[in-house]
Amino acid sequence: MRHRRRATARLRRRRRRLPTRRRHPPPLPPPTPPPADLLDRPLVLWFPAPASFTGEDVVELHVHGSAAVTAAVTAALAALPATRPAGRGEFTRRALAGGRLDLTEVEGLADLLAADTPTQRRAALAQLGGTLRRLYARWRGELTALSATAEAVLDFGEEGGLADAALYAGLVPRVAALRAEMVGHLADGRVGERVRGGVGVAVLGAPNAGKSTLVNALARRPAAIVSGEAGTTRDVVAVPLEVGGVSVTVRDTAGVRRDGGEGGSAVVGGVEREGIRRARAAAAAADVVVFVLDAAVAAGKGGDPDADAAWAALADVAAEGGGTPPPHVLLVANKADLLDGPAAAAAVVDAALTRFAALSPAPAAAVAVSLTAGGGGATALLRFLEGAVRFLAGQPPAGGEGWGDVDAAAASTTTASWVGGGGGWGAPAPATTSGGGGGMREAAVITRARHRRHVTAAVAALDAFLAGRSRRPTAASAAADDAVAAESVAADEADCAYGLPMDVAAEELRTASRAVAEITGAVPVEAVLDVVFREFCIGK
Amino acid sequence: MAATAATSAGGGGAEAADPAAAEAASAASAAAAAASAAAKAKPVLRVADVPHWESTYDVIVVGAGHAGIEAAMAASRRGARTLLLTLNLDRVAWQPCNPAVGGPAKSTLVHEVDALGGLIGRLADRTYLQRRVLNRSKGPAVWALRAQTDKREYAAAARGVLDAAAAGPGSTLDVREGMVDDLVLDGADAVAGVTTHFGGAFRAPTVVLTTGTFLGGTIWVGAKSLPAGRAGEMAAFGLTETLGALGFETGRLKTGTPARVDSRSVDYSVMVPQPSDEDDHWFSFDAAEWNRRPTLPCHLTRTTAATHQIIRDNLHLTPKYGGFMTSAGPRYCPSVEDKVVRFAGRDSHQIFLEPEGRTTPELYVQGFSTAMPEHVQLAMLHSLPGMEACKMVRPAYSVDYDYLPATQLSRTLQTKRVAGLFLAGQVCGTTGYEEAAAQGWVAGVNASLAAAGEPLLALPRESSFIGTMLDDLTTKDLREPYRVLTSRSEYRLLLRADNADERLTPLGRSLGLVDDRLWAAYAAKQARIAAEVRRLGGTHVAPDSPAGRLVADRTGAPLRSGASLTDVLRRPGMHYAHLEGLGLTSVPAADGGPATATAAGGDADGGGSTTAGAGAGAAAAAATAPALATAYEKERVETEIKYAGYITRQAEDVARVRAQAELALPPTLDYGAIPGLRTEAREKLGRVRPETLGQAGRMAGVNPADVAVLLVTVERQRRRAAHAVRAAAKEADRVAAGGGRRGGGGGGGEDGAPVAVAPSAAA
Repeated sequence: MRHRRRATARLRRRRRRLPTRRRHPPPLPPPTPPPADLLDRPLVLWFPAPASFTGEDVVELHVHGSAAVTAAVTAALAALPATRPAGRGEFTRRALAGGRLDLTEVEGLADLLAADTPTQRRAALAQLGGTLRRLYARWRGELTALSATAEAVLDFGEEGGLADAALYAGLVPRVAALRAEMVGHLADGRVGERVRGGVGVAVLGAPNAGKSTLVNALARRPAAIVSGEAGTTRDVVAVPLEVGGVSVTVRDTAGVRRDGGEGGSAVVGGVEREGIRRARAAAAAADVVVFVLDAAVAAGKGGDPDADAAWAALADVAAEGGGTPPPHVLLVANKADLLDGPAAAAAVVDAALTRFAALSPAPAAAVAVSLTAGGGGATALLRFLEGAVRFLAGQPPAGGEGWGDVDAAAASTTTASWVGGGGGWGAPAPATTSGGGGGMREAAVITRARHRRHVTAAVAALDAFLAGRSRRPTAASAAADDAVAAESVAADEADCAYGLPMDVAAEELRTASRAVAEITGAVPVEAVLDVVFREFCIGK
Repeated sequence: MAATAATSAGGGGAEAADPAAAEAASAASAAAAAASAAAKAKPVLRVADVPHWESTYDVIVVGAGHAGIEAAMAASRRGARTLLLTLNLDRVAWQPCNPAVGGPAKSTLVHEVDALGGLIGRLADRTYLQRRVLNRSKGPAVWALRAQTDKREYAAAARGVLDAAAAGPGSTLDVREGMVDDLVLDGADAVAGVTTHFGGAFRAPTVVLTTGTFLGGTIWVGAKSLPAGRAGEMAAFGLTETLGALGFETGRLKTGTPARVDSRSVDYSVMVPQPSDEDDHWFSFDAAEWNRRPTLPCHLTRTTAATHQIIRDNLHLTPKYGGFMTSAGPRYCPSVEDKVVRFAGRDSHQIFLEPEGRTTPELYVQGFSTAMPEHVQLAMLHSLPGMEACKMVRPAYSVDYDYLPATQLSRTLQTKRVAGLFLAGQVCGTTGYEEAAAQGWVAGVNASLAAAGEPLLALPRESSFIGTMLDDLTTKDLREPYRVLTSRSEYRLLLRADNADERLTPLGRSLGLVDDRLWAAYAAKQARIAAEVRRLGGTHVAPDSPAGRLVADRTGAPLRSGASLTDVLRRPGMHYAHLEGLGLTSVPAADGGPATATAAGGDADGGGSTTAGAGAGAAAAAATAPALATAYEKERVETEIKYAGYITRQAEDVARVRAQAELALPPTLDYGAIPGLRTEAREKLGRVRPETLGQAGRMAGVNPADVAVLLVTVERQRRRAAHAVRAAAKEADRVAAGGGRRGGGGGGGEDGAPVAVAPSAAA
């Protein structure tokens, strides 16, 4: 079998390309010394510029994969002048530099190489195929055109007899349309980032509620140490999983219990205190919080101080507002086998949901399981998790089941019901709607926080532009443009009543343009000037 | 492409051994061979070859146009013994195209040159015919003053300045007519002097070439051409060959000027008059120059369907559309036939008739550049309303000329190839009197610094439009003559006209080009502005006061209680003039007006003055702010307050990029030996040799990955060097102390470390 190994000699080429397409590679300089014997009979592929992967002339030698052959060929290549082994990622970097790939496509390639799950593979392929490049390039083109108009008015308007005010006013609806599109792009429920980076699941609960047991059951292996001793888990233990075709990272955390006060157990020391801090942080950063209760404790009358501390932590996490939506919460009443049958389990589940509803309006589900029996507990739990995970990753529910069906499917060993303020658990993910039914395979969704940051910055700049340029002078102020201001700067111009003068507003367009350009590469001033000169009749 | 670069024999270098490179180069080989043969024909003139030296100077300036006079005056005022040589002393600071100064971005250049102690703003203020403030409604960063000047008066005023400077025994300036035909080099290939066509020879360690369009100049009317620098003036010969022999690359650019018509043959009654603005706006910061003059209006007419028809019928007669001249003109200054062809949908274009002087009937027909033959030009003119019977005094013509791509210069405008040789103005590929003047000032200052063995001045991009222009010129390939535009600067909101003095006057002072009187006036102004800004921030107005009611009325939103006048000014649509109308402006202390004493004293801004770094003189600030003196000062205060957020943001941008952007790239860096650079970047970097990492990043063909590679390489070298320096500290000290201006000889690092000047960003 022919083992593919690529050893490529890049050929230097001048930038000035010949007008006719070359069909053959330029002759290589003769190797020195000339080969005394035959090294191999390889397959040689010639990719002429500019259509190659990197945009440069590329030769691929596919040699037989034995150590002797590859060593001999590599040595012969090394003897050629100006030839050296490619650096790590060098071909991709050259493709980027040569404009064959932009930054988003390079990121797509990296994601493809690192893809663990089918959804990641599909998303990465779409991005490598240029879904994001095309979207951002279109935005950049529009921003360049908008900037060009603004700049033409500033640099040439008065001399060139351009209809300045009308040109500038004409920008406002275009900016508004672009902004609306960007906002729509941002409102994707972060499905792209979740597909790429995985959905984050944190397991939170009081000590000895069975969090690590739950994690191990999900992982189907002993990923976390389990013991009957409360406080066994001290640090956050991350377990990567694939759930429903989506990459998931489940984080087991230290049990949360009361720090100080009387009754029950108390925090033992600094290490545990730090563990609890990390547990809260992991839960706050998670997309899904699995809150584990000891069903027996929950069924018992009278409060348990540790459980109360855990509930308090959950309340903090679920209330975590500040721009980011609260996590989806799955309340798991563990050790359901210790209860007196399904009715008791149902009571625990209802009580948990009621208690949570009092704490947070975030959508939540509850389920009672037994993970010790080795029965369907873990499977049912996985089903639950899969529903949440696929929703968060913008995937259609597995098997087309609605959320309401989940409890029925898992009815044998669990009891569950869903509550929450219609927060969209059952609604299709935004990305799939914008993709015209094709799901996220077609839609250009944000896959990295970096993109989100830049798009957000662009939206902020466009907002400033719109705020500064949309307001027409009020009738009163227009009429009052008056004797007081007769000698004022710009008093003779209605333009002064806008929140931002044209030059400052133009700066916002530049800022937006730079922000979008940073996602894919830089935009030089010349690009704007080219449009200025093409679109406007300018000059003396 | 306007710039068709014919690489001469001296170029290239590093890649010459590469067979592929040789193959690719062969395309242009015939032309290159011819060029190099011609170049070889002229041997480099050495000091020993010159039998007789007439005299010795520190700086020789060749050419007395807008760049040359600035260079000569800056150098001589700094104490350098300076010789100004020019082809024709009756054409000093001539305005061969539109006799106008300023316009968007260009006026900012003029203000900047003035703030640095240059001439152009004063000359324009002394000789204006008509002035207008452009872009008035578009925001403070793009306000632009534009003045029509009296062409003859302008040249006479410039000549007068030179003559005055050359007067007296203590003068450091000589002015002389002569055609420089050769440069003389010393043994280290540095400049040693010049010779003139008729046998003069002058020694100097620095030479500033400001040859404009005179190198290899050819003028064109229709298909006819004539070697000339300007219409009726001979081109310069000899220097092109010398520069070729020295290995400089030259390219060719084209520009043009429209016809002139006799004012007395024009019917103004059918045109729209454009009177002069009567505002208190001037180019110079020097109040002594603010002398009002009688003005002349310009007039506006338009092209007609008949004009467009004539043009379409005769397109084949123009060099461009007839196909017998390929170089393209500047896109911002298209010929009228270009406008008609490219914007076929427009049935009319604006044409301005601008007077060229009080003592000449000639009118400049702005917007009517053309390459048509003379008889067609006349027919075209006659098709304009009001021009039906006009007499054409001079036909429109184009000129194409040699320029030296300024990538061969550092930002100091010294050539990288020949120490002591500076270039400025149109020869560097720019267009416009303002661009030329700014470069002339920089080249003159640096020539004087070089002659004195001092570090040269490199204005960073973010310091000024001058710095922006120099950075563009020295890093980018031109496709047309370069003109400043406000859109060229990333920091437009910082680089305004109204704060040009704050940004640059301290530098001018430190260079000895701002005298005591101007410095005192500058300090007082800065103090006034600072005090007023403080006063506005500390003066509060109630929502139900007249000011509060005005704000509510104009903006639809009432003031909150406790709002200051600063808050009032920040409101859209509120201006300093409104405060004046309400009597809330600063007044002299004697009036006891509404100004409240908020400033503890004026010392806050006195810090930098002793080191000429920034800030005003410490003089100022009584408890009340003194009244602002001019409209500029009021605009300045208003702008600083109104757009403080934006200004601060850009200032932060500048601070963020500066650290890395100003990282120096050693002139000796061997780009061929840096692994990881792409071939294209390697070639370009090796050819241009940018001075800083920021410049490298702005070059076409150098991408962010290359910049990252450079950063790592330079940082590694720096650490290695630092280590070596520590190891041999004594040795290094000894060498540094002993090294003179040309101590190195081989490295091409004679520029020394350019002094980077930070913009004293407001706020």
